[in-house]
Amino acid sequence: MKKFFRTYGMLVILAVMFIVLYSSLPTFRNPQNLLNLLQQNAVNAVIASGMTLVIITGGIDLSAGSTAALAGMAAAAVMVRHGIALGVVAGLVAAAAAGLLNGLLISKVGIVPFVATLGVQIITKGILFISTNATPIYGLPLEYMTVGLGSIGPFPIATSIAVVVAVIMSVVLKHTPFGQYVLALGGNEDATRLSGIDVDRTKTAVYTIAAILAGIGGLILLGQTNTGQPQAASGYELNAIAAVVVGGTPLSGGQGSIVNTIIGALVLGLISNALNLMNVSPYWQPAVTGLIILVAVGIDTVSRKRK
Amino acid sequence: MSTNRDVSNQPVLEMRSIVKRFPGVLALDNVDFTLMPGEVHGLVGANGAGKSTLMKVLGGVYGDYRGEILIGQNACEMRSPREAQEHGVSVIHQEFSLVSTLTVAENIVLGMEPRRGTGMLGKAFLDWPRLRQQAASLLEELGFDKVDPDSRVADLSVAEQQLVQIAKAIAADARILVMDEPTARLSKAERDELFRIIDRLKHAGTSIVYISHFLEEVFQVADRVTVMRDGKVVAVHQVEDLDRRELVRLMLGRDIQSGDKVRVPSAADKAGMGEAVLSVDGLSRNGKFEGISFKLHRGEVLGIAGLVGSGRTDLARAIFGADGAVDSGNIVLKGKTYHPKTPRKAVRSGIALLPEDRKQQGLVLVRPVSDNTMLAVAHKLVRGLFLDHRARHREVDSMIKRLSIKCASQDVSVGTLSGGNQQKVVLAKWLAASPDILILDQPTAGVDVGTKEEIYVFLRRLAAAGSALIMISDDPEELSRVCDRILIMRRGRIVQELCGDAASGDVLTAVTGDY
Repeated sequence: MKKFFRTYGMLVILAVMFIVLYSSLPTFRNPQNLLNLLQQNAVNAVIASGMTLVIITGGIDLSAGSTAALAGMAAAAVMVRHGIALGVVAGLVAAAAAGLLNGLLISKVGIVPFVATLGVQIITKGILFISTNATPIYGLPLEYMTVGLGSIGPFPIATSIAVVVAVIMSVVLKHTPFGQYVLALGGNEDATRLSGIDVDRTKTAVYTIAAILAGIGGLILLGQTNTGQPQAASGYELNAIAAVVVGGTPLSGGQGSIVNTIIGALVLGLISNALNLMNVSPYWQPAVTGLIILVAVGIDTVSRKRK
Repeated sequence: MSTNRDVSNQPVLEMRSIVKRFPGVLALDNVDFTLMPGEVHGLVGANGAGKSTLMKVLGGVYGDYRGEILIGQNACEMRSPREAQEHGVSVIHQEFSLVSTLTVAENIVLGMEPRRGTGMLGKAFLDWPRLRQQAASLLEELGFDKVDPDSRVADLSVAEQQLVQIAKAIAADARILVMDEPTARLSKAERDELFRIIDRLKHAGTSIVYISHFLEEVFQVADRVTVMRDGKVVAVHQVEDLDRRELVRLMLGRDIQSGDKVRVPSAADKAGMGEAVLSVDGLSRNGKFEGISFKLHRGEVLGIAGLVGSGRTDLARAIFGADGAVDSGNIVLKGKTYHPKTPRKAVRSGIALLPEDRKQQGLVLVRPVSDNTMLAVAHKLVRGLFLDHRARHREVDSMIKRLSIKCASQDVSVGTLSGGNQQKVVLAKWLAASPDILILDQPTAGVDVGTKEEIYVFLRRLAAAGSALIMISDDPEELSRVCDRILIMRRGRIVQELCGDAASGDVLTAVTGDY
């Protein structure tokens, strides 16, 4: 029973919340609202999938939001002149570069992840403002908006991207040697290195992958606004971290799963959706979200102690 | 030691019918344990016998035990470490509970700092001079004068940290001191110093529970011995009524041929000496070791003996590339020049290292037995890009059987296993990689007697099958029993080579010889 709750606890909470809202709020069960819910949380789900990998190594990525903005701006700048395909490539390359920088600062220079990614976050923001004079980039091809707002049948494209990313990342984590190294180095870096594994390269890869996923998040966001904004995605890294911890992945590293993170992202999304529908002032939303994080992690921590 | 002292007949501690259950395991089955004032009481048993669990109950770590605990005739509840402390019980674990960033003095008075202040701020401020002075006078009283109260704990040696831990317990008015494997990381000189301190403490009336795998030590320091097996107490004896053989028999429930050579005939025995797989020539690292030269042959177990700080661990790590490139010297591995730079390169060249500290360096404790066993070969057991889970499962199962690792399933985290079984998992990890050369740094540290014998036999079998082994150990007896040749290291140099027929006494003499 306890084991069941440890494994499926958050899923149960998600299901209960869903059932309660579904049966009590007519506006909630409106299909359009449900599709909106999925679409609005796609960006966070994608960024949080990468954040999960980082947190499993025992690290943190405070630059995820700024990397998303960087990818969006790079894509927008290239897209207006050279078309959508090159724009997307430019966005992802810029994101990967930021991630590589994180990875090298952490594994080669040895700066702790919190500080390294904080530094990269601030630098990235600065560069974005300098290079654009803080002005948005308009005039993107209209077709690009399908990425953010379009759908295949009733199913939003943004959500499809998130599902594909989550499935791939889940497979990478559970079914590849790389995933084993990520889990092992998060549990004990020294022992992993002494088992003949290139810990530095693994860490660099993790931060690069996380940044590419943040970049994908930024590209979806760009498709939703169709304007390249240097201050876009500000604070998104914190939403992603929240999804990871609400999902039950411990910050101590060595454990965790992508599925849990997706559940965490949905729980947070469901709450903000419900508050919206119940006409609660948006000012209340951060307070409620903060409370949910503390309650979820609190329950998890207490149940771990009692084992 | 001395037994003719006048001690009161009332026990300071009585534990009655203690029961502690873990999911699926009865860890303590109606255990009785008594401790007399001023007594050193040895607590021995194989790994998993329940001695650590019993001491954790006493220390208040497992609040949900059943049974009675009496301290000086009064029934007590030991539901938390705090309660245990209030009743004068102090447990010194193998991993010290000191704050390494604070000074010795700060650690000793932690939680009981002297305060000062005036008026409204009556006790708001630390009384630094008094704090320092209290700690210093306590250290002096205990005769630990070589420990500077102002040095940071992180800068102390293991032995000094242990003294601080003891001082801290005494400062907290501990009347019952539990020492769990206190000598595991000490050199011989430090060990003798500890025994003198134990003797002094007991004459001052402190009762000590002494847990150790080194039976010689138990005979040396203990007045009485309680033997545990499978969660039960199987015997309580005055130490002079026992001999080593009898004690081992009680612990294992069977006889063991101790002191005999563990001689599965190896390839080296059969065909003279096999070819040299590893030739080390003039290997040096500044401040660690110098001019190290030796040859290691196929089918051979080569021992390295030396005190802590003799450079033996640094040498092992250097060959494995754990600390980067060396300063000078050459290594020829299987006929080719080999420059150890990273563990990854070493592993790919067929060298494995079982490190001295299995928890910090050998295992990922939060991960399951399966992942740990397969860690070094994760990239090999794959189908295309993906892990071959079926093959992995089979391989882990066969390793568990081959080494008789005791675990509920291969999916339980390694952290839940006993020390001996954890060490077997590290061994399993390297066996899976089938290295040509296996370096073992203290493979039996913190491992029970029965498992030690299993490991010895296993190492000999590996050698017989053609592997080359280097075994570093603190225990002269095990070196002389298992190894074909023994190199003696002192102050970073190889000073002597003994052949495998050397008695343990010869090894000990060589290791501790004059400089």
